[in-house]
Amino acid sequence: MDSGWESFDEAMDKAKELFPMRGGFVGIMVESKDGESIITKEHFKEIQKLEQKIL
Amino acid sequence: MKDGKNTSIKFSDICIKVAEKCFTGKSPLTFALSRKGEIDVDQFKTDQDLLKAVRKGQGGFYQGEGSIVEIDPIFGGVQPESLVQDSESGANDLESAKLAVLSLPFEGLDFTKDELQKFEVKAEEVGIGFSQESSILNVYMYTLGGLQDSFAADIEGDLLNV
Repeated sequence: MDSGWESFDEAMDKAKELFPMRGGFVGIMVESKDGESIITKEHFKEIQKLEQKIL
Repeated sequence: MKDGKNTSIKFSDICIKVAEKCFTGKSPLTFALSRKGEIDVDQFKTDQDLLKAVRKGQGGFYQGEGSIVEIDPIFGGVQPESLVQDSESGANDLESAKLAVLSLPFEGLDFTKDELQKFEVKAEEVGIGFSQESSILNVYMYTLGGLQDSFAADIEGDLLNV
């Protein structure tokens, strides 16, 4: 099928024009270093510290 | 570039604000929100008290599904593996989790894509640095821009391999 676009870049530019993406998100995955549960006060406080650093 | 100033973006410049505060989405910390809307881990006397709050499956002040917080998208490496959560009340039988996920959404406002990408890179650096310094947490960062680039590269690779 002939899309009419010369290249992948041109197709991506067209897609971005049609669907402008503004914003996004910062995703954070945290893991306990000792392999134990992360649902402890100590881990939650550390997660809060990390979030505050990024905020 | 906002206001023509060549300054680096802070999360507070682009975060989605609710009542003058940056909205941080549902995260493990949602369970530690106080009635004032502040994160207060010390409201729990013990780890067991914190776990009890998580097992209630409620937190924050959300509309839609109310204040129920789904465990599955937030925690990973859970026990029991076949976790059961009541969709009406949020109550669940979570015993432990090795991973947790947070998502900090932001809006582009009048910043350029390059400026937003620089912010994402900076945020990733903060996470990597934190991971190296922390004695109890490994931190892995991912951004929408990174996922888009990765996705686009995959498509491009597929097209080149056709």
